[in-house]
Amino acid sequence: MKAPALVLLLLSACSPKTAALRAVVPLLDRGSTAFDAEPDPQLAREALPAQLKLLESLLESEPGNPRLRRLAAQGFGGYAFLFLEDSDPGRARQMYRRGLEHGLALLGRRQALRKLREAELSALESALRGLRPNDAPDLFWTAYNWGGWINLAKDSPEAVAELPKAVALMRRVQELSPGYYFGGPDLFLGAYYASRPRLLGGDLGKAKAHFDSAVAATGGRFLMAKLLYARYYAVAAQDSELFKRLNAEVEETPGVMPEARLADAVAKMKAKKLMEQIDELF
Amino acid sequence: MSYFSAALLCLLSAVPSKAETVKFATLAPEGSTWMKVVADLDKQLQRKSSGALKFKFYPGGVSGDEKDVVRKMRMGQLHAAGVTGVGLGSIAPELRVLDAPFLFKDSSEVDYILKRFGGEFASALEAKGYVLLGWAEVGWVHLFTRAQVSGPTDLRSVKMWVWEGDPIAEAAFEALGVRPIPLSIADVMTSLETGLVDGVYGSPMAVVALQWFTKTKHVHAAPLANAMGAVLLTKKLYDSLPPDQGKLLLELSRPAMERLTKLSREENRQAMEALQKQGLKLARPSAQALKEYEEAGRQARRALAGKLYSAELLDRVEKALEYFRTSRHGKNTKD
Repeated sequence: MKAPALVLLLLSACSPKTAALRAVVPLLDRGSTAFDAEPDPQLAREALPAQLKLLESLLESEPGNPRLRRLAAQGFGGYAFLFLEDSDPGRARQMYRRGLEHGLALLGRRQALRKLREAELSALESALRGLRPNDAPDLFWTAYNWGGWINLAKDSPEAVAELPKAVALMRRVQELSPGYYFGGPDLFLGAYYASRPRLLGGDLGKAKAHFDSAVAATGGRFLMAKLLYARYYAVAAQDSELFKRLNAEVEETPGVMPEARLADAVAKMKAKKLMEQIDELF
Repeated sequence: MSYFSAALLCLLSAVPSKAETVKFATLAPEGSTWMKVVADLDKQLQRKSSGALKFKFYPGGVSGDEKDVVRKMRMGQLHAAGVTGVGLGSIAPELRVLDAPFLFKDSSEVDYILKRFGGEFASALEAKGYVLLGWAEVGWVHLFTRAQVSGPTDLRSVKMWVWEGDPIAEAAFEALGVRPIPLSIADVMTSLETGLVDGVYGSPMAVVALQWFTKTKHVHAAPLANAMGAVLLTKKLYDSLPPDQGKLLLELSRPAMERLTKLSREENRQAMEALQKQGLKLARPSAQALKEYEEAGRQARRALAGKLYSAELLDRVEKALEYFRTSRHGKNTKD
């Protein structure tokens, strides 16, 4: 028996499940802020997977919900970067990849940004020109996961071939909203220019300018910026004095931004580990 | 000396006083297949030498480009490095016969020539102060162009890049009647963007990593040459090692490098697929074009004789290849 389409539509629009879901999205949004403000990395590390699974189950019911998608892209990327990249790069690679799928689904709501992985770079670049500042978060978290995945998949030509696109996305974020996520676009581009050999377009001068600009974006308060400055730029420039100074600043300066408490706490842990590797890095 | 102190001395000498650290530079970035294989080799080396011998890596070109690296090896600041044709050529130019244009038809031919001439090449390197730890092939060099090109005639209207100071590519293009524009690798991307050049060459994986493919539309199925690479150790460091450690290093390196070459070939195959997924079209040359390439290759290889390698060496390599082709062909028809 076929129910009239309109009735079905009304039913689904008013189903208790959907209504409950709509109510929970703002809560999850706030939950994400609560994660950013969590001072105890271990608590965050243990709680995040459950949150990510919850997001994915909600997305099963409502795959087109952009707020859920955005939280998932941000959540998988953040989890991979903060907690997995150093200890378990294989899993970090998979989490970035999942975050990337969420990000691509998010961008794919616009016709011009569908099938980005197969699109030609020039087509992508012209589609990006049509975007506005409020598109910056979607672009940022997609590029964040994309770059994170490629960085851990350098043995995959397929992944490496997609790097120009991730960079194009992030360059557009830099134009649209340069200070987004504590100077995130600068941190991404700084790491990009520092980690590539000069022969492959690496450029220490550009890397330094991006890192300086990222540090300045929060007046030096976002400690992760200095950590990345040390890890990518100081190592590539083989400047061990700068490396030591930046790591010491991260370890000794108290984190003062409530919305960056978790990132600051993790930056301190990473700085300590990085200092233990100094003999291998220089 | 008392019996006791002599025994103590014996004990002490059995314990390695300090690990020998081999400083090893490469352009390959951290996390690449290249680095994974040599990091693996390092682990084996440390284990089997009970910690007496280990590598310290300088990946991603932090030690400079190939010319800088060879200079630093001469000065003893570095002990080992992965180098390609340019680096090898600056040490023992005759090895560049391996990079000669249109010389090889497939990888089994490359393997055969390395097997037959490998000892001779290793001696040439040794005479210049280097020990060959293993061959590490870069891969087949293909042409990438913006316009569609089906043979040498079309190629003449391409604004082709040539790596400045790369005599092999210069000779190949000259034989094809192409007048290329010499630039350093670092300037290629900008020149592709401005349109100063609209054709480049490289192994598929290199062109993916260099991002040149984003400015070209066609990749040519017929390769120009096969680019060789190798991992070298300074003889000075090798001679300073206790003989058993030197032997261990060689025994472990050779199979590791063979594995690397196998993985590189697979990686280049995947890169070719990735390039097509990113929208590049694969251009297959006509039978006529292939003949012209073959003839150009013959000319170019002759033109290079006496400059990089001797005509006599080229003859021997070409004859060995002919022998390999006919004997293999014979086998195939019997099968």
